[in-house]
Amino acid sequence: MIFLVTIMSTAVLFIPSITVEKAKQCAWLAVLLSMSAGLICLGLANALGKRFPQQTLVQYCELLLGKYIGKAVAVGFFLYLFVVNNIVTREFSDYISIVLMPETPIMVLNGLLAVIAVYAAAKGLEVIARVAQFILPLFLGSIIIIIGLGLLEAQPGKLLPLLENGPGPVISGALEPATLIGQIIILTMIFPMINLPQRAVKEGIIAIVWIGVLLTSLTAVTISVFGPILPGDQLFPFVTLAKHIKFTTIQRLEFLVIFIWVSGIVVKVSIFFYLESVAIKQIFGLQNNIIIFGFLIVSHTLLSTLPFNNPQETNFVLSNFWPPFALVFEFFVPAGLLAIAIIRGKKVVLRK
Amino acid sequence: MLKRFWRQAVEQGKVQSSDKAQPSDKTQPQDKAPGHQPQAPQPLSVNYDANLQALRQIFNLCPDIVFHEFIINSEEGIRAFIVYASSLCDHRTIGDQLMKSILPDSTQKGVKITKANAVEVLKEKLISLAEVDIVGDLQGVEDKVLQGNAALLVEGSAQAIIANARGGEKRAISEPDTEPSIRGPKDGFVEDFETNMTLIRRRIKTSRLKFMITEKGKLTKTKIAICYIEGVANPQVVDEVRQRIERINNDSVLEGNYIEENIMDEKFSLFPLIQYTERPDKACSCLLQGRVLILIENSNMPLIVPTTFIAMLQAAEDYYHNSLAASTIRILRFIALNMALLLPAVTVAVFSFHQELLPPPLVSTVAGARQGLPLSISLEIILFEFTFELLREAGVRLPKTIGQAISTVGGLVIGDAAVNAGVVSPISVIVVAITAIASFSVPNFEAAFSLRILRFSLILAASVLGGIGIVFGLMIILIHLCSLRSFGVPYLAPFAPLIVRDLKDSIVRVPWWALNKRPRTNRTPNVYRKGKAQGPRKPKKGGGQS
Repeated sequence: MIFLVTIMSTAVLFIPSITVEKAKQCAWLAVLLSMSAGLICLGLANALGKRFPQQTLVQYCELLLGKYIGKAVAVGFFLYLFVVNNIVTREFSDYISIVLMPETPIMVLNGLLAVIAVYAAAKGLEVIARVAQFILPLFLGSIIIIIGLGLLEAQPGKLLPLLENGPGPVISGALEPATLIGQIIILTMIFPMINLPQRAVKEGIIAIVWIGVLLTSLTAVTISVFGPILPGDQLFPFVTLAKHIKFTTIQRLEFLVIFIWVSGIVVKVSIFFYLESVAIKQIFGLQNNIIIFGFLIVSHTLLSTLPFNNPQETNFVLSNFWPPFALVFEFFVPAGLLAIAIIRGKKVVLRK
Repeated sequence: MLKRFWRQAVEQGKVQSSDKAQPSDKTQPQDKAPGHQPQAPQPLSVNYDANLQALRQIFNLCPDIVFHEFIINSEEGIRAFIVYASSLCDHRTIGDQLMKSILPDSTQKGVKITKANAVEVLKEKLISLAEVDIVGDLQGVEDKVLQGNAALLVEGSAQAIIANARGGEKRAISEPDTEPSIRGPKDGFVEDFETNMTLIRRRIKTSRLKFMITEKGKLTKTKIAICYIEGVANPQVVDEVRQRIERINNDSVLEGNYIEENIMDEKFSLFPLIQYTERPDKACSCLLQGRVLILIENSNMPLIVPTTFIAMLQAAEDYYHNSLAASTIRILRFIALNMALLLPAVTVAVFSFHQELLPPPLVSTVAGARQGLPLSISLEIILFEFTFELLREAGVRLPKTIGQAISTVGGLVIGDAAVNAGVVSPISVIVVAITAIASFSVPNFEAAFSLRILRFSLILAASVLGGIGIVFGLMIILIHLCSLRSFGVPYLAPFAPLIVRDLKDSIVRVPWWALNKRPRTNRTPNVYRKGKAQGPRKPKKGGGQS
């Protein structure tokens, strides 16, 4: 459940725009494709989790790769978490400052978000999970309602022709949602803290399938309402869709959607904060919560103003530079670790 | 001068506290029966006069303690005296039953009283009261007398007969003021401990209903009963309650909250982590759900643990009405709760940040009404909410006759005049009024407190950051709520963590024939309330009259 909220919250907003830009009317296929990538990542996480049920990724990095290389990879993984968190924070504040609060400096929004998320993170994983569980029905409900109402105005003809330019654009369009769904890899950090790991895996699968289905239908509806060109040009096609919908007297649905989405973002950011704090503790052996969280709050508040100058840049970076970076940590690092574990694990068994 | 006074006061305080320390040591092993004082108790003497002297010394300047000396009518003419607190005892019990059974010529009944066997004979054969006990030390006599017993001391014996003659003034059982209902029993808990136990026992007639009695407060010696149904309540929870209560070591317990704040799971919580009720029927329904009740002497509001957030929205009556009606009312209350929390904040946010949310016709009306007003909408609403809270507080504390004047002044004069004078807009008056009504429809008073605090914080957040401020505020509240636990039970229980079974009795209440399991939140060992498939059935066609 927690994963569902985590991934969905960012995906909903940006995916349609990016994928549509690349894959045009077949964008929904791209999303569907990325679902399988997510499942692969989950499989990796599961395999690693079974092998090291008591340790997080950061811990067995050192175990497998030796002290120095292992530390380096662990720090890299921490940076991955950090960057993801940073980008999410930035997406959030960009979005809010565009849609709702144009005059509020984004630093303020970032700072507040960081403080709230740290408050949740300091309370621990269980509390975050509960919060996620609480808002999940609202979250799903709002998306399903939007999709349902959007269907009223959909023109399925706009989804044709299928695979106009061959499978190429679809695959490149699938990269970015794949990296988002691939965030399921954070499961490797959570495994040791879960009571019933196997249930977590099952829920992870369910979450990915749900995400896949919802995102696919959302993209499809967006395209069938606006056609293949418009969503690619717009920053937040999903909100445009919500704005577009007028159901008898109920208008301005997007506000409700925004607010529910913000709560999802809070959950997501607090998870990443929590994981970062765990990673810091395990890499550097620190114990003091106040120092760690203080450092995280300050660094996120300051750094999330840096990376992009405006939302267009965010989108640009997300679609061009982000996928390779994310894929390294979501796929190649865990896969490499698993490979090493299998090789060395066999050796260990033989020696015995 | 002042300094000297201060020092004197401090020294006196020290003396007093050291005095206090002694009995506290004695009462330390709390699970032992009250009055049982193991550490170096001063035993009663065989000497009649010494006992009398000592007790008179103890009860010096206690005019409500009565010493009654007499001679037992036997061959030897044994001297005896009874001592009791006239304020705590029933005079009729003492006169008609105790004295009458001692004084008449005992030889008539065929028993012989001597100094040696007096205590035994009196206890076993003569005294006709049901609760009779024997105590052998001064401290015990003192405690017993102050609990409303009469102590009988006989010449030549170092033991005192303790006879229960409890009585005295107590309030009659009356309708619960704070939780009135239309359908359902009309009796409410009173301050008297035993009456309260009676009220529960009358409803749950099983020997599995247990009362674990301890005593708290070095000076007040307040009785506390942990009440639960064996096999229905989770033994771990019962044990936890017992341990937490035993940890308390204070000098007084005057009301449930003296205990409540000491046994909560969190040091500070905005939400009530322990429920209380004035209704015996509600208390019993909680017991039957597997919860634990804490009865406190001199308090008409027993505590209920564990509790959940949703319990704030539930009233006893919900279980007595048609389930559809009850569910609808619960949904209504849920909406009211949200309105009481959010309405002013949302108004502020919409009016000062997101005007585009208003439907076009309303915009012009509102804009017209707000023309020329000196204050911003957020200030207006804060001011008016504040005024309302003032009115409410004044109304609660004042005698009822003056209270009406307050409501006239508040409602009519301030509200109407403020609008007419052009100080505030009618919109904010409406908003505050609706909020007030909504907050009154939350059944739990304690919860209304936390709602008030949160409402003001949310108004502030909304006036700074608009809608985002509200969402942030709500998220903080949600995180706080999710982290709370009441005796190990997650506070948001049927929702987060989601327990599908318990949703049957949360925001809705399904009919009784479908409520066949006890709530899982209380982790009860005895899950089933009743067998399955006992719902109403239509008679078979052709059956019946034939």
